[in-house]
Amino acid sequence: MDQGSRTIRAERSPAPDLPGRYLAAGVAAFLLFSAGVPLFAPVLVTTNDDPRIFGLAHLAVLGWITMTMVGALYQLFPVALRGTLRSPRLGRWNFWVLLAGVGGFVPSFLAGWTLGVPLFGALLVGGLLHFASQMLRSYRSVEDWHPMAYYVLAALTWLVATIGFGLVYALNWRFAWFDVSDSMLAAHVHLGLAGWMGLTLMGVSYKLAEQFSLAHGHTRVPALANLVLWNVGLVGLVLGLLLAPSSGVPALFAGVLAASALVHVADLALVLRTRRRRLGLEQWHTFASLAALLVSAGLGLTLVTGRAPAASWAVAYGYAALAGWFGFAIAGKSYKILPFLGWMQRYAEAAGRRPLPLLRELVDERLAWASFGLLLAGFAGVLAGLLLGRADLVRGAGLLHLLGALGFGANAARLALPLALARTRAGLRQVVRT
Amino acid sequence: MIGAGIELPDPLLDAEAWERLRLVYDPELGVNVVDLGLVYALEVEQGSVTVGMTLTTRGCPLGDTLLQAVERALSTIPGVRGVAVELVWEPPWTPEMMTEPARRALGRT
Repeated sequence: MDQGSRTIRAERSPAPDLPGRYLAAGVAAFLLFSAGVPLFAPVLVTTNDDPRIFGLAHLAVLGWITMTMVGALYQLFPVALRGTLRSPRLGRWNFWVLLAGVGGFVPSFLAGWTLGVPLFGALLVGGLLHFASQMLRSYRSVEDWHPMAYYVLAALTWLVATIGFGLVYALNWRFAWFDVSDSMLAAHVHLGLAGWMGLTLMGVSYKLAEQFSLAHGHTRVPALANLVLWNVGLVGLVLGLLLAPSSGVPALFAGVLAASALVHVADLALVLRTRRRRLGLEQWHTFASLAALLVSAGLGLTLVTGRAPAASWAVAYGYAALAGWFGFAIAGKSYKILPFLGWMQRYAEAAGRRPLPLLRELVDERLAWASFGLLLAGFAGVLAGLLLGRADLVRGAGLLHLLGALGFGANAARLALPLALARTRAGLRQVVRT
Repeated sequence: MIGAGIELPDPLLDAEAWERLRLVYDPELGVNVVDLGLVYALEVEQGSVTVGMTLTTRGCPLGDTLLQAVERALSTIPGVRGVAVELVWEPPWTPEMMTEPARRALGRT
């Protein structure tokens, strides 16, 4: 029994309020975003260059997706990668900085307040740089170099680049130093979408899919090779958009990204196939997410080759990525992560002493399936409405999506709010070998 | 299950320990650690229990909780003087190590 053995080590999970507060904020932002789509339907089908669209997009990107990812990484970094977070306490303080930043930044866009955008943007820059710095400095402690570790490392680097571009554009919106072209904006968008958010999602997806499917023996070579391919595509696309937007360079590297997306979908599907039980909530959300990724990739190629017939196709591209690829993935994984955190908070101390509920019993599954159906129908309808330029379709389907979001929110809030409000500490438990 | 106040000889402690371990289950999979094939060895010597066990994956988020649950479940057996739970990674766990009931529950038959 001595081969590589060890006794129970100190608890690695952070106290649940650290990830919990970020996850709870993410749920709230998701609900606001879902409400914003039907509200701004007439604008969404008309143009892709409106402050209200920028506001809605940043609500999704920063308030919903980034806050959720930050919370998830605070949980997954120590547990899945077996690293040690440098300062969970600063992570708690940073939550308020980011919340204040998003809380001012998004309304500033919506109201067209040009001073507010760089003002609150500075808070966001500070908060996100602090988060990225904390994570990157924690990397030397990582013990499990699963592909997720490499994906997140790359994602954090892209996060810094995204922030830099964003701050410059935010200041420029106020001071008008230079003209910002569509391709310059697109560069910033893809640094965040494909760089920070895309790589984080793909890395976390690999880790969780392997775990939940008990996919032992699945080769990690495609995941690592695809990480290189994705980054090559992203670097080429961003440089092409900035330096040679009218050439074929952006289209070429957009094609590389699309091919990489296909590889990711195929590889992840193989991992999920090893799961033999009836497919559950998380798997169906993952399928929807991957399908949306492919749709988004197709729309991206259409846009970069100049074949999009209307400005709303750019909005559709963003919507397919945000509400589709990220939206379904986040919802599905939330049905795993939130019950896990809630179970740990309420029952971990009693494990081994008495019978305890299963993780899936902490979720209202009927509500979750109904929510999924509404989200899916709503998403498809909004996407169709954007592509057809039909505000009425976007509004109607957007309301369906909002209903689904409220159902998801009810399930998520039941689990996330107690976590966010928890003051308990995980503490250190060690059992000395006798 | 054995009640309080009764001290057992090692062979009976051994049997009781295995029975207690069957009450410790993975709350994600809904299968106990014995049927999952996670428990590689259990030794009882003069009331001291040593368990060698593994996890389904490195970085399993429930890993520490399962180890502590095993330690708690065994500590409450009357007559147990001490419990040591050792986490091992060799041989690496595979789904084939599960018992037939576990494989049926997880759709792997």
